[in-house]
Amino acid sequence: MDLSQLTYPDVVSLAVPFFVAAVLIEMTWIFIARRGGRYETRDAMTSLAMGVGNVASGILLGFVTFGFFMWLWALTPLDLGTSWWVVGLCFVLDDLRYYWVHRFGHRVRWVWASHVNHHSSQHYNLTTALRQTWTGTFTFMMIVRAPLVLLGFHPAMILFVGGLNLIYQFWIHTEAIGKMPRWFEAVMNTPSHHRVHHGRNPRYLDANYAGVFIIWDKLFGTFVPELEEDRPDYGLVHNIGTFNPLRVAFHEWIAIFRDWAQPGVTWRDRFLYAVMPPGWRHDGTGGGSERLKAEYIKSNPEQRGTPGFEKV
Amino acid sequence: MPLWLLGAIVVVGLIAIWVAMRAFGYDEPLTLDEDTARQEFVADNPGLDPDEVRVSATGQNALVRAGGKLHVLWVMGQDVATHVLDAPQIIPTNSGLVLTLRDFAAPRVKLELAPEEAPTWTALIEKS
Repeated sequence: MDLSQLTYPDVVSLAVPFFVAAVLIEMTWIFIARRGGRYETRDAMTSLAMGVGNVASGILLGFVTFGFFMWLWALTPLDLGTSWWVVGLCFVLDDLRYYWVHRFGHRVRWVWASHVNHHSSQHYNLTTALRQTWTGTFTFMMIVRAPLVLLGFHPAMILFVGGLNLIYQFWIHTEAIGKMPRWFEAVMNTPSHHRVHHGRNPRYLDANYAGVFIIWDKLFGTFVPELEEDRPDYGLVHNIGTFNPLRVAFHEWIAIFRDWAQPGVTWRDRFLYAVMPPGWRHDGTGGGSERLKAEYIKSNPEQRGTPGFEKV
Repeated sequence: MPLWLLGAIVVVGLIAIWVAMRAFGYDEPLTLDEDTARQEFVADNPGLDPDEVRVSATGQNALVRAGGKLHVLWVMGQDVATHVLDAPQIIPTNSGLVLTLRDFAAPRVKLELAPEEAPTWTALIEKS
């Protein structure tokens, strides 16, 4: 089958009017009901500016990823075609890919430098979903998608299901929805599960990386349920003090370069500053989520063994 | 979707969202008291327990002494940000002080102070 001209709709662009309408509906609901979340003008506008910048960076740099995939496509002898079951399988496997890229995004500082902006809002509403990276291409995480191309999924199909994945994740960035039916919560990523992911409470750090299917977290041991007695406090462990989109987009990259430029660091240290989890310091003074969890349990020993603290 | 149409939807959408937020009063800033400042500081600096919290008369900033160091806390919308003070440059302004920090994310912090507060805060920060 000649798949050289295969195209799928640009679903993310088509969803933009829906994104705008949904944000307006959510903020109106919060205003009327006086519950279901918080909005702050500058925070929301920063998130929206990050979303616009993400689309612009995709237009400017998208050829790098697509070119890489087409190069792999020319190499592979496999071709699974375009049946709907293939699209469905591609969607599920791409969601597994998303889980691991997202996990790397929290555990490898080079990837975190790109992803951190998504967590830099202290609010959790539909605009937070649009607070997306401008620098994803530089993380080289497109490599994680290479097996899908080599298995015979066409690059256009992979990008199409990736767009669907992104759209799915939009609606889960809300406090206006409590919990979904139990069967849905068991299988799918939901507002409740994803609120946990955005929480900076020690219990919720490095949890719930799923995109669409929460089963990946349950399978790989990173699932933590949202607890009524520990409501998520949103944002970074130590929040950044800016609404400036340029500073939001680049602050962690600058921090990495500053760590590299410190006097007395070796090349090994520089390498580790890029690949170790956020918070790592070459002189041993740092500490990431493990240290924060351990310190919390030291002060709250009765919480040992409860969700989020099983391994502490 | 043509790029011009996408651009038009984005521009109109951003304006509509901004107008709605202004109409709903979502730009009302947080006002600090000592308890709020203390809670916000602890949430943003796990493991640090404030020894002293001094909130400005405007309720928009605080100086917090914790772990043997002086920190500044300032209101960002309905939330706050905090930063340890390490010999910042202090610039007096009509509405208070501006501090320059060695931080790409927050290189300058504008402190809104009552006129009589500025000299005291300057002295405290200089001693930090």
